[in-house]
Amino acid sequence: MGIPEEDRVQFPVAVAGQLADELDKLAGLLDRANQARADAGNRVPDYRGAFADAYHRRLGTHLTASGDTVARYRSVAAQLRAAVDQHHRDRAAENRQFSASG
Amino acid sequence: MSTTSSADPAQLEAAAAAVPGDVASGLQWEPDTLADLLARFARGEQVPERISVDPQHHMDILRAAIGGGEGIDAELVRVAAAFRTAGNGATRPPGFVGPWMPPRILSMDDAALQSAVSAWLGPTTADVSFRKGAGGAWEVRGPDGNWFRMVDSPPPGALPLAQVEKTVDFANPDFGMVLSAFILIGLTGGQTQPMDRAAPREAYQYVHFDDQGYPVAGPEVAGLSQPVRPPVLGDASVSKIEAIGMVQGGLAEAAKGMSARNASMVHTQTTFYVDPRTNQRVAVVDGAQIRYDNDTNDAIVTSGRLHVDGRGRPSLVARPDTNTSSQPSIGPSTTLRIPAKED
Repeated sequence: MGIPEEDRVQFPVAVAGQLADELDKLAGLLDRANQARADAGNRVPDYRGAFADAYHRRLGTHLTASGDTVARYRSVAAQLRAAVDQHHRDRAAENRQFSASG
Repeated sequence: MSTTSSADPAQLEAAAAAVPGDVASGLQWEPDTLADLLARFARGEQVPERISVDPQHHMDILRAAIGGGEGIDAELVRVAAAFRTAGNGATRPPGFVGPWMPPRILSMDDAALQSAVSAWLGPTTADVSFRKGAGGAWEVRGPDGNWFRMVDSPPPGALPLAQVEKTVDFANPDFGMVLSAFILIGLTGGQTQPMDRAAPREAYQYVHFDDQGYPVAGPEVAGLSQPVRPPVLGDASVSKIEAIGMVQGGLAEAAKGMSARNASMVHTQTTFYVDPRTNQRVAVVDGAQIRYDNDTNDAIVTSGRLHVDGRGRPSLVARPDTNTSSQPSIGPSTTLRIPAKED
């Protein structure tokens, strides 16, 4: 007897791959936006006073938070791809087990 | 003790537009794709569970990152606008005759700057009012409370301060925005269709402007018939005044209470700017007539103009060098289709 279908390893492989790609894509977009705003913050030398100080503080806080999101998205994308790989390995092992038992 | 800030508005505007157009456009539309994929992944069966992904959390941190950046850009534009319109030396000195250019770096009292920037941060309202300003030019009041002269197109190099969106059902019209759409169409020739089903001239007398510049339909309109939809303006021979008159006629007919499903709808985008060449406040009102498909409930543009992106969706406020801009709400369960041959 083989492994019952409901007990076999399952994973939404196709959508996991698409999701990983999309997370990486958005991480890349956020990264480019962050870089552009960081550069822009260095190109306003004539902006001075309390408002300018607040702008630079706010920009720094934003870049840190947005950078965390970029890192988080890339991390999850990597985890998804690792999970897909693990699924393929487990499925292959199952098939070998099935063949051996048959 | 008052304090003062100084800035070169052009520097601030350049910083506000630093994010490349393709990045801004991607960050506008890709979240839809991500939300869809997250939902599909969350529905997928995992035996055993290998990875837990919280769709809401992922969308929340993405929106926070995108919104935070956009907020910083928007504030830069608004600070620049405040310097341009109220900074010391921004305007021609009284009595000065001859060529004049404002200094590159302007200064401003912090309290005034705070007040000007904060004025944009209140609750966004779709209620837009109009008046005739100096020289008879139409003006529209911005969300910050200032009056902006209506112009045909965005000033070169200007970044949008804000955009107000409105979809108007002629069976239940918001008169101010209906007027804005049709003044625009009448002023700019934004359409190529001939005038169609204009209200009978006698209808005009039943609509009047109140003290605030809003057209008001009187109770007498109940006895009128025809047309079944508001006038479509665009004939090159239609003058502004005639156009406004026909708008009034359309409003009078609309006020009679037509079937919501059969009535024309108007979607408007009012975008506010400060012209970097003149430091004057200006606004562009784009408008389009739409109708709802009875079967699909899609909103379909029948005439007029709206900015759309490459996917046929209404776009956000356009940066000067791109066609990307904010997603308007057309209505629940609707999409906007732009016919191939509109302009």
